[in-house]
Amino acid sequence: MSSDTKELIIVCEDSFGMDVYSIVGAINEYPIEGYNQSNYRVLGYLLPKDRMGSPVRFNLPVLGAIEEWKPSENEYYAMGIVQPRRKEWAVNLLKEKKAVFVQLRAPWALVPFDVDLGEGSIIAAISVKEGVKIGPFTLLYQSMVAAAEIEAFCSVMAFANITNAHLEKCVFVDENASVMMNLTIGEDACVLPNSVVVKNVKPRTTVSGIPARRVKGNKEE
Amino acid sequence: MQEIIIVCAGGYGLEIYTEVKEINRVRKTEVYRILGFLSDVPVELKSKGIEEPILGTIKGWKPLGNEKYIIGLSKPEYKKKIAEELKENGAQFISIVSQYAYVLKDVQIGEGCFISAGARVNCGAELGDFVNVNGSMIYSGAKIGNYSTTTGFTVVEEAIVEEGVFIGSKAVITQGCRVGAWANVSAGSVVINDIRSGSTVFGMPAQEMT
Repeated sequence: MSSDTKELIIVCEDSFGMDVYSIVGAINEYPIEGYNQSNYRVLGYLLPKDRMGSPVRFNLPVLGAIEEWKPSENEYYAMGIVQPRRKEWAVNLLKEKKAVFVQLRAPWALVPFDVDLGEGSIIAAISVKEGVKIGPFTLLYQSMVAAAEIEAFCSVMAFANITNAHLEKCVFVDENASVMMNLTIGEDACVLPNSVVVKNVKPRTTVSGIPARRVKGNKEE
Repeated sequence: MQEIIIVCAGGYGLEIYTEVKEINRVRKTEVYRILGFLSDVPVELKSKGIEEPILGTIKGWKPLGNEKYIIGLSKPEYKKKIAEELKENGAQFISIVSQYAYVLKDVQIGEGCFISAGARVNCGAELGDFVNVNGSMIYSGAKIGNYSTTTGFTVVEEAIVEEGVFIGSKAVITQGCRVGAWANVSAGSVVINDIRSGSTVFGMPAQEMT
């Protein structure tokens, strides 16, 4: 059961990031037995400077711009940005000012307790099997992951299926995509919705379709 | 304890039946008592191990009293027809959420909805009346109109789905799209543009079938 209440600020870019509020609400509502997770109280959102004034959700205020924000003590941060490179940008900005990011693990996520979860990762997956390595600031959103190695800043969206694959830094796997066994997805690659990846994806490539083919970027490598 | 009657005893009606029994089993109290089914066609339920009887036909059915109804059908057109017919006779409908679905805070759900196991509806989503959500993922800010049905592994991002839309399994409705009323989204499609009312779309990106 939870022992303390932490004050949380969600770093986001659009309404999608505000969805992290749903996960936080669920964590407070359904505490996981035997897992020492804190209760959270969401103070508000941080938005990039050029997105200030965009509509916000759940009657929470926008506290300020990510660029200008000064973190204080006893505040914790959750990463609600989905796009990997933007995520890296925001993390670097805030980490410089000594912001502390929390790890969120949704109550419906079936995660063995010995899985290595990175700092600031959000695990709202359906299931994560043993032997998975999850890097810092990874977002697993209602997906299924088994025996995979996921590096920093990756985002894996709803109902994506990854088995025994290696995702390099900043990979984005969109909804309903499947990545087959023993494959490597290169850095900054993007897998579009409903694709089935059957061979390695080179860095900085966007792939789509069944089987997945290159639609954008990186012809040479 | 709430008495309910399941309208239609086909595959989907029996799915609701199992989910209701599961709710009673897990919570260890009789949350819902199933009085029986309504069906226009003769169905053999005894061989499937179901003791509840077929009470009568939907046509001309007179509600008994305090019992509530849930429609065991997923086709939007039929749902509308049956709902209007029963409402005319004074029937009241109930929404049921499976024991294994996650419906988070501040979600608006109308009457006669059924949310099955494995579904997840995030904070701030709005569901109309007679919506069926079957093992889908509904993001916050999504709006789903009356009589619509989503099936397994469907993802509805922050989009607007109008009345009577059927979304096939593994389809994705991406952010900011509007799916017109009584449209059909085929299985495995990825909707990235607005969809015209009454059309059938297919593929990735979803295009109208002619």
